[in-house]
Amino acid sequence: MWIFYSLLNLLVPLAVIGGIVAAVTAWRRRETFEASTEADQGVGTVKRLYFYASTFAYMLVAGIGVVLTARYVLDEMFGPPVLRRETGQLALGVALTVIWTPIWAWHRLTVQRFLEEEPAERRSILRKLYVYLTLGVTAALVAHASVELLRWLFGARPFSGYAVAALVVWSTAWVFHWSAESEEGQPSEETWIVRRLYLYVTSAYSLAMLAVGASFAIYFVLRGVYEGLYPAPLLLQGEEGIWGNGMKNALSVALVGAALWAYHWLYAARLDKRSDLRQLYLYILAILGGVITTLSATGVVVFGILQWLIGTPEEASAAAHFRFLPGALSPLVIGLSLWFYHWQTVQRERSPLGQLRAARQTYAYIMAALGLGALAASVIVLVSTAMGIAVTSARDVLVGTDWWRDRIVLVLTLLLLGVPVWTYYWFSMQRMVAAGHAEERASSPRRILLFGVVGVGTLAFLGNISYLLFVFLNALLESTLSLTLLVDAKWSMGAVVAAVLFVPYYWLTLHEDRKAAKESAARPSARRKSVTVLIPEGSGPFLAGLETALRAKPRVLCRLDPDVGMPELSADDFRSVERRIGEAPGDRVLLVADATGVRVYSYR
Amino acid sequence: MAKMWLVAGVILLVGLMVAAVTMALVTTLGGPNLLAADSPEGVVQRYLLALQKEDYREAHSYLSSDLQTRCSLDDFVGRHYWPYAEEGQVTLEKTQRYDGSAVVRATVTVFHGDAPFGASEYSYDRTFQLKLEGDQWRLTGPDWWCPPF
Repeated sequence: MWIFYSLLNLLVPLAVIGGIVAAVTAWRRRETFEASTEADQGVGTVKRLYFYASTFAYMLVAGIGVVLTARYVLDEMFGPPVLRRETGQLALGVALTVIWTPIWAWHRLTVQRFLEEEPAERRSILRKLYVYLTLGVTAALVAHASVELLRWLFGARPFSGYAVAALVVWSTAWVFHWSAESEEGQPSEETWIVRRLYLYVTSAYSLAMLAVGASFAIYFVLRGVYEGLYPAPLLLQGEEGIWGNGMKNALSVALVGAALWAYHWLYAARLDKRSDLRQLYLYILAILGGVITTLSATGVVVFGILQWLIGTPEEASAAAHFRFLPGALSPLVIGLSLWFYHWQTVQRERSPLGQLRAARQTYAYIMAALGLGALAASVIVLVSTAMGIAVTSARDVLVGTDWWRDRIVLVLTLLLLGVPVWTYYWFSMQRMVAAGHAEERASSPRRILLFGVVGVGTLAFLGNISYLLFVFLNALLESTLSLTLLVDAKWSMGAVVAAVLFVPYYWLTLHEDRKAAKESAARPSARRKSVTVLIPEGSGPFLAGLETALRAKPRVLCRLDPDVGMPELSADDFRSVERRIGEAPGDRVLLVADATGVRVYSYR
Repeated sequence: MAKMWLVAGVILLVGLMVAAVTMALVTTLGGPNLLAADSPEGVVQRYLLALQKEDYREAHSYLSSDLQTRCSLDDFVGRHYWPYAEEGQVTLEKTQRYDGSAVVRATVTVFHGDAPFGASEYSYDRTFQLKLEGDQWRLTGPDWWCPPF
């Protein structure tokens, strides 16, 4: 009976997803320039929604049925001996397979017939969402099954029919849908977006699998090396050597992640160089993830080294103290690899005209924020430690004269990381602003950082000042005023000092930006308008020049008329187009480019 | 030129990795060295090894006479008291002796692997209490567990 409740539970999220998709489709139909194109006629949204959602659901249920059946058979044939095997799963698997497979097949044939009846169905976003959701779910199931299979092959777990059955069933489903989609293609920008979403989401989690698995594998090797050089007094070792279940698991995850990532990132997405999603993946996921991993691991290593040199380590011997190194060096290696490889990719793919994208801005400002956070934390700890050194009553510890050493080590670690990160990223963005990139001042990531620092800093300042005043007045009124109040108060004082150091600087920067923005608003600018351009295929150079002039990506409509031709424009010509866009009335502009030149039309 | 450096760097990195793996394989084979049988940590080690081998009679013999009375050999058999033996290691941290008793502190490190993101490792401490019976150290606790640990 539980399976029916599970199916009901499956229908609820599907209904939610379907509702969201329908709403988005309806919204885009109001907004899109293609409102009257053939893609939105014929089949109908409700019909599409039903068939695509049902086909997806029935495929899943039928697949589960086949997996359950195959799993039972395989476990019977090759699995470890059991006293009694549960036959309920076999009965359920056969029932689901027999009933739901034909239903899925009929629905699948029907949705394919949509293409024959209405060729423009290829442009349907619902169709692409169905296809790529299917691909995404089956790819994830294949990944899971592959890891389980590899764990068995490496000897980390006993044989399980599920791994083989799931791998065969879901990989067949994936190949089937991928082949069909490859034939259909992606005829519009919206369908490309859905494909990109699938490619980059799959690349992201497979990269995470590769990174985690490789990190653990390297950790086991480094730990083996370290324990070989400096053996720890072991009472018991679970498994001999480094080829234990830990390494087997790690390698299984890493190998599957590598295969999945290589196919999706290195092969399937290799030609997609201009999309924003790719930039998001590169900067926000891969590079930022690599940088944060590297900095965190570096921080651990630096802290450990400084603690040994000037702090108060718990261990008596260096070998015991530095036993943390394998655990810190393995993520450091992975973080550096991620950072290096993806940074090289970005440099290779960056437009020769040095176009700055939103993803790069976001990445730079996030790094500046992290650096600033480290600096602020170092100031707080430094101030509180200094007060503890200067005033005996302000100390947290009751005994011991070296309590401050580890605090100073922490301060130094935070400074060693925070100073280079903050200065490099913050001042590189300031240099961009100073070089005349006025739109940089108005960019959302910059404004979020500036307002965030000023807001949070001001709150921290006022909150801690209030607390200090409360503590002081309370003690005064109760006649308990003494230096022991500093035990807690010193942390608030540290926060106040940090706020006083950084908030005025960022407030002045914000003030400058707002002043510059007012001056810029007085001039008409093309960059505040929504620009659509109608061009034939193969107009890449024109589009690149236009994007450089506008410092933004316009919406592109592909013109199908034959022998249209394209104008050859110089940089001055593009600036002239930008001026004409700025002077055109209204907020929406259509550019029509052909051999005769570029015409600018305003519309609503 | 840059490509040559990159190739050389990759070759060096691969060489280092091979050397590291070889060293790790060689040095971690063979299991832990046995500690002195007449030391508290040596007794704890032999007790744990006996449990790992499922030699319950030997493990029971390392308990003190009081604990053997409270905790029979039958209590050892059929208990799921060592779920992590295959997945981790036990490292000696400290041994402290006081007259006729001793405390051995150890750290158990356990690794868990789950697909697809596979991995976590965590550690926790365990303390073993022993006393001298004649000239041999024997486990006395933790006495609220039977068998201990």
